[in-house]
Amino acid sequence: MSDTKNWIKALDTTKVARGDVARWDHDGRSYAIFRTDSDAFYATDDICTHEYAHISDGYVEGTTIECPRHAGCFDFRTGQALNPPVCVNLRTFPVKVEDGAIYIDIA
Amino acid sequence: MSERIVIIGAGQSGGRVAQILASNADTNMSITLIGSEPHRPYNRPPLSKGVLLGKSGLDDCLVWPQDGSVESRVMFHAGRRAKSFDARQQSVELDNGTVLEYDKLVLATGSRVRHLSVPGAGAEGVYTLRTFDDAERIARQFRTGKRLLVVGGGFVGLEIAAAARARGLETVVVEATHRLLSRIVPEEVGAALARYHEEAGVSFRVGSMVEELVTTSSRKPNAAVLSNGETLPYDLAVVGVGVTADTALAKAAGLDVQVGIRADSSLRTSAPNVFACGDAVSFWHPVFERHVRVEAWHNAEDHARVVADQLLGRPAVCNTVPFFWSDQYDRSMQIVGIPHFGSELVSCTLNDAKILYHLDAYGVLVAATALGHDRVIGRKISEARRLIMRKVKPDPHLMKQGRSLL
Repeated sequence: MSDTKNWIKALDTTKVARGDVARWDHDGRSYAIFRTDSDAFYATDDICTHEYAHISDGYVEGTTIECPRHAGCFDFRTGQALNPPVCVNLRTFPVKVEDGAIYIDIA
Repeated sequence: MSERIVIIGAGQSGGRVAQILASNADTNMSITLIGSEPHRPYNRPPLSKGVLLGKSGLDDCLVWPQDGSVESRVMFHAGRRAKSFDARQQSVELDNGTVLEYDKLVLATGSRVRHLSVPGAGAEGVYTLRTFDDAERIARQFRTGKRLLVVGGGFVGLEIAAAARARGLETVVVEATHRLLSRIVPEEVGAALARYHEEAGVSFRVGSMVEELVTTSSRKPNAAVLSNGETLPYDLAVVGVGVTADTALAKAAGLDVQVGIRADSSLRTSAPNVFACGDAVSFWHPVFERHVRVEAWHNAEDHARVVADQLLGRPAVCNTVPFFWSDQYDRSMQIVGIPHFGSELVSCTLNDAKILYHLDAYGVLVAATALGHDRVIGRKISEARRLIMRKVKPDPHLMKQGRSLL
């Protein structure tokens, strides 16, 4: 099967620590790239759906990210908003890792 | 048989209880909400920010989704006050004489704004900010006003000052104590905040009280006479001298009231089948092992969830660590925990941000206060919340150096 996704190389895997998040800016937009303790990678929009803040500045615990401004939480695997004040889900993006680099389909 | 739930107070907390019930309860639960304002429940944080700046309207602040799903399930008495309730008869009387019987009652009566008690305090051009209508009135005055007097250097006063500067008003804040936010934050944070405001053009008179608000012969706002002898001309005054828990109904009904409506950690009051939530409650906090009363958006939200869960038959306890934020220009001020339970301060400076850790006499972390960009302070506050929850005694050296404490 051919790969129909529009993969764009984002960051080297070494730029994201286990159990942490890193910000990637591309084409005027910010993305948050997560790496779990078990080395799974995920990507979401980096701007909180509540008020303006970069969620990559927030606190990662397990598979949730807590916004640094008003403490709303998201499940970064699905983008699901978990507690008020956030109520709109975060957009997520497909991710793949190849040769030590993280690729995101931002289409 | 159907269960009748009556909620008194349609602010953030009462509104959210109604909403959670509306989307989860089966159809034989009847949900009645009583609110003294004409509006559907709305969030108050934007009032002193977006609404004053003319950027947000009521629709931007509403608690319920716009699809009408809550309204279709909730009997909402807008613009009505509960006059009294009888905890034995389990009934509530409204100001129009209607009597509502309940199986479970929720008191979400919130806070009452404090007014100045000096000559001229009731004059034209003197406002307080508590409701959406208040905020709109002040926003309207911002368009024509030139000189704003803010009475009270607390969070509301400072946010009003910031909004007024953004709209080009000359702004003076008069604070009775010797510094800003004296009740809430440590001195160095208050001082840093004062500097941000001064950079934005706000002037301060601390350690001064307004003794009289003088009007012109045509009853227009004229000047404030301060206790330091100064006369400050103004054409618009906003009084932000705090709020008090609105406990009048609970007190009249014979409930235990001390500072707030007394409740256990499940927010049950001293009367059977009566819960209380939000600003008006003084509840037993299982982490601090004391009664706490918190005036904050997050607290109202946490309480609503705890009360609604129980009304839906699920046991629940409020053990979340209180959290408060205030946006000040491009910085964020955040407080987690209860600072006044601390007796010792450990201070950490990271770039231009400050994080202050509050420890009790045993060295247990009870709160953290931070001021700076959320890029810097957000994670520290999140970390502190977890440590407070676990009643940890963090190493003061690590705290000072801003190192990880978990």
